[in-house]
Amino acid sequence: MDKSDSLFIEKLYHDYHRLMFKQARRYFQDQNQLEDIVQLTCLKLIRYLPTIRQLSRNTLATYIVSIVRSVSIDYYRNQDTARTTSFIDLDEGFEENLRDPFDMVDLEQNTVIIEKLKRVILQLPEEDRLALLGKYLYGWSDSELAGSLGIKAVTVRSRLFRAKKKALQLLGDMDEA
Amino acid sequence: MKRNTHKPDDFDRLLKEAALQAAETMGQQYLEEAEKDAYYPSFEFNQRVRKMIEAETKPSAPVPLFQKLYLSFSKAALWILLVLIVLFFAIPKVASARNWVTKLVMESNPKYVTYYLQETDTVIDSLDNSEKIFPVGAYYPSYIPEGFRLRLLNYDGSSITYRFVDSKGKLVNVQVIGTGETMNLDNENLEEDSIEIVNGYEARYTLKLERHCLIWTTENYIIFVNTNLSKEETLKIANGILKTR
Repeated sequence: MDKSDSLFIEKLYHDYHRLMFKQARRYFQDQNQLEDIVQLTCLKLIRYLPTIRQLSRNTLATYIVSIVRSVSIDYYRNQDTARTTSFIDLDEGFEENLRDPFDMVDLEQNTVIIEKLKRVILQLPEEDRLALLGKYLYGWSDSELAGSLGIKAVTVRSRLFRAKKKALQLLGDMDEA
Repeated sequence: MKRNTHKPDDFDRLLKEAALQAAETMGQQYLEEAEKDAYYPSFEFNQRVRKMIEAETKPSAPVPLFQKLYLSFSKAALWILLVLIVLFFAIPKVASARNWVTKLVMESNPKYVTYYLQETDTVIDSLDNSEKIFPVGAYYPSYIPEGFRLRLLNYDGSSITYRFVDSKGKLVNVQVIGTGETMNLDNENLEEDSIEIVNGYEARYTLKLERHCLIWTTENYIIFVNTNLSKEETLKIANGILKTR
C-alpha cells in the first residue's frame, strides 16, 4: 500500500458513498448500522484494491453494490438478528454436482448474442445476476460468491447452474418473441 | 429456439462479455438512483472513514533488526521446545531411543558408571571383550560353547550370576558368590560325585538328572557351575572362569 492507494480509496469513498448508503438502506434502517456497513464496505474494497483499480466507473458501481450486499449479509449474521427472506439459503439441499449440458443458441453473431445476454442478465433476479457477475466479471471464488449471495459454498455451483439455465431460457424466449 | 452443439466454454465467454456490459448498465442505473438520494453522511463519520482508510493503507514500517533477531530466537526456542517435548514422550516408549540415551549418559559420566550391557543377547566369547565388560577383580566365564547367548546377568553387589542358553534348550549357569553368602546343594541320590581340579583348586563334581555341577572356593568367592551339557564341557567352562585384571 502506498499514498496513491490511500488517495484512490478516499476518492472512491467520496464518489460512491451515497451509493453505498443507498444500497445499505436496502438491508438496514438504523443509522449506526448503516454507517457500520459503509465502513466495512470501504475496508473490504481496500482488500480488493488491485481488482477495483481496473474497473470502469459504472462497473465499479455495480461491484460496490455487490460488496455492500456481501458485507450486509456478514453483518446481519454476526448481529444474529432474524433473517429476512432475501438472505434465506434457497439452495439448501439442492441437488449437487449437476451437469452443465447447455444446448446452445446460435453463436454465429456474437455481438447480437452478447447484447441479448446483457438484457437477459438485467432481467434476472438479483441473486442470479449477482452470481453471474461474481463468477464471470469479478472472478470471485466459490467462498466469496457464497458470502456475497448469503448461501453455503457448496451450493454456489448449483446456484450458478440455475442462473445460467434461467439466462438461456430467457434467451430462448427472446428469440421466439 | 435454435440449438447447436457449441461447448459450454463458448457460452461462458459470451456470458463474461455480457456480464461486463450488464454491469455497466446496472452501474449507471445505480449511480443515477444514488444521485437522486438526498442522504449526506455526517462530518464525524466522514472523518472516521478517512482515518480508517489512512490506517489501512499506511505502508507497514520495516521491522527493526533487534526485533527480527528476537522473533528468530523465539521461533528457534519454540522449535527446540517442541523437539524436547517429542523426545520426552518418545524416549521412554521407543526402546532404541531409550538405549541410545542411556548409553550417551553413561559414556558422558564414566566416573559414575561401572559397566553396562549394550545388548541383552551379547555372546561372551573372547577374553578381550569380556575384560571390557566386567569390573576389575570380577570372575567371568571366558569360555562358553558356540551357540550360547547370555540371557541373564545379575550383579547384586557381592554375587554375580550368568545364565547362557542355546537354541536347543541347553543351559549354562555360572554363579560367583561372595564369601559372606550361603547356598544350598542337593546331595541326595547323586549319580556321580567326585573331586576335580579346576584352575588349581579342588572342585566338587556332581551329576544328578543330567545336571553337571562343579563347585569350588577361591580366596574370597564360591564359584558354582551348573550345566546340562557333558562333563567335559562343564569342566572346560569351569576352567575358563577367569578373573579380570
